[in-house]
Amino acid sequence: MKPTLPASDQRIADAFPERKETSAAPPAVAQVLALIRADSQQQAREYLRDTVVPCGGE
Amino acid sequence: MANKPDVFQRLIGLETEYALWIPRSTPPTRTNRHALFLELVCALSRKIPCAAARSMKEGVFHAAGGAVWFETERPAMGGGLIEGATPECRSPRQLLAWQRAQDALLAEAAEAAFGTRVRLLKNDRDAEGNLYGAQESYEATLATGWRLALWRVALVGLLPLALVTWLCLKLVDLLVTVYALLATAVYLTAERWLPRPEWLARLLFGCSVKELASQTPTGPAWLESILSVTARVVTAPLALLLFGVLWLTAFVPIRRQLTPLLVSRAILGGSGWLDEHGHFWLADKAPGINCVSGFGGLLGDRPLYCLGHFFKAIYAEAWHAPRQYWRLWSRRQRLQIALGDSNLAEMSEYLRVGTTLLVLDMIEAGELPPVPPLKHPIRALRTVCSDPSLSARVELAGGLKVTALEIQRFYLEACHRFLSRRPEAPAEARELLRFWEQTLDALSTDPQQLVGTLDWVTKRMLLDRAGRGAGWEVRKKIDLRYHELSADGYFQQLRRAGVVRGLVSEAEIAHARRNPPSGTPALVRGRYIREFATDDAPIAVHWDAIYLGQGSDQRVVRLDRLADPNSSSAASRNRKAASRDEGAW
Repeated sequence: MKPTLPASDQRIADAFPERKETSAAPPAVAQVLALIRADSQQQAREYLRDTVVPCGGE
Repeated sequence: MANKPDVFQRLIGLETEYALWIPRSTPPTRTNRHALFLELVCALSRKIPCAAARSMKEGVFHAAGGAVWFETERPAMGGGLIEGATPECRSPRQLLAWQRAQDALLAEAAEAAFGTRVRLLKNDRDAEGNLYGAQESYEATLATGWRLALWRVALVGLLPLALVTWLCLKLVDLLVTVYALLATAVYLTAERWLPRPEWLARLLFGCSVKELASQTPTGPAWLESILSVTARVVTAPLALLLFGVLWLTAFVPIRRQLTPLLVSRAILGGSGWLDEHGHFWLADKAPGINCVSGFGGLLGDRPLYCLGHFFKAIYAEAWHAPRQYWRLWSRRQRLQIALGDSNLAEMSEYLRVGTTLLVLDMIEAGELPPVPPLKHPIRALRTVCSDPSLSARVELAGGLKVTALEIQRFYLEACHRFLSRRPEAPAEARELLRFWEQTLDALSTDPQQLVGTLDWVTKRMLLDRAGRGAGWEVRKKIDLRYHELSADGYFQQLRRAGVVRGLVSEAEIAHARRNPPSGTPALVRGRYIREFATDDAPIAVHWDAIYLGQGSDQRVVRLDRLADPNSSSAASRNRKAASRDEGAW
């Protein structure tokens, strides 16, 4: 049975009809979104701190 | 005119400064950026033959023709960036393939060198607002007529001042050496009397004595600050005079006619940015741009057109390699555009470079209709970039107000007419126009169609869908981690999810990872590196030459003669080199 997508994710899938046939694609998008949503404030704060580029570049 | 091959003939290239993710739990001895660069290069050379660069900057060239540099930026403050430079290419599709190959090579080298300890990000600005990122280079006519004559006279006239500047900088170098000797003597004397001499070591050397042996010494931050100010003061007279000359002579018609395109192209090539107030901008780097032309940081400037490479060539490179000075005599030079984001989406990168390249071809052919200049280019840039609805209007010199989409369509229509007069133009140029038009149409009707196609649309979707209601830090992490090149990066995850629209095939990228682009100086450079990198004879490489052997036995192979494919001798050499290359892999 094909998994049902939330309306917002269905819209992404509709924008790429040629990809809709690959069964992994739309649920995979939902997985990416779910993974991002699971991030905590603390993890995010550490990530921002750990990606600072002192003094910038050219 | 119609028979002259003037579409996609010039050399083009991309430079990308990569940020690093280094968790705070990493021991301080393993976070030195120069040491990380050396580890990365070591891992890279296990993937592809590399040869040391002969340049002011520390770096290597690899057999696919590109280079990896260490950008020294205030090392005592923890600065320093890893920069990748694509080989010279001739078409936007070629450039896209080699940029993708470079991203993949560096990401894999980083994984091999650091595992999950350090990761690369391809973006332009960190959470504290420090700027770095991408620069584009296009071969272009510097000047003609009286402007070219003035430029050449100024080159001769500035020579004595350049020599004085260089001598002053050498004197500063000498003083630093004297300081190092004195500081060592002071420390060795004082450590006998001090119960805890570590504070003195930190004051004099910027680190403990133990750290001096284990990592590249950077010197104390206070000394670095003094040296930074001294260098600016010493070079300021030459910099200001040279800037005046360049402002009068360099790329004047191009700067006048190209600027509205560059200001408006953020709607295609912007990679999106979340500012400190949570407002979404189309582009990452553009809001930090503060002038139209400049030297790129030397005088606190963040320019749209960066002229800093002329300054470097005159005040420093020329004294190590005098040929660099005489190359400035040439009518064809490198136009460097510092306004542009580091893209993950292939269409964003392709349209950003491709539309600029085609409009440059049109300008140099003298066929761009008169372009109404923007009244305030930098203000217009901020207006365009701060409006994801794409409805904001910017003022032209005549008072008319237009949207970024309207400016883009002006150039698009001009390019249509330009190519309609050139049936012999490469098919890729027409394909580019088709993509450009489709993208502008989609932006006009429903930008959501471009999720996975343009960076800013894709990032905005992630922020809207996954970051809604979340705090600023969580949303900002989405902004940054979108650009991580590891498999955990959000764009990479979307790619695996099948949402991302690709332009170049995996086969093209695989080819670009191992081979230099045909019809360019990189072809010969790459072949020599592959041939001699593991040989006993030393090889050193620069963009325009290869140096084999040492001392009186040294042989120099010039690459700059391959630069112009329109000259019959160069075309013949290119063809010969290309035919040799076909059997390489």
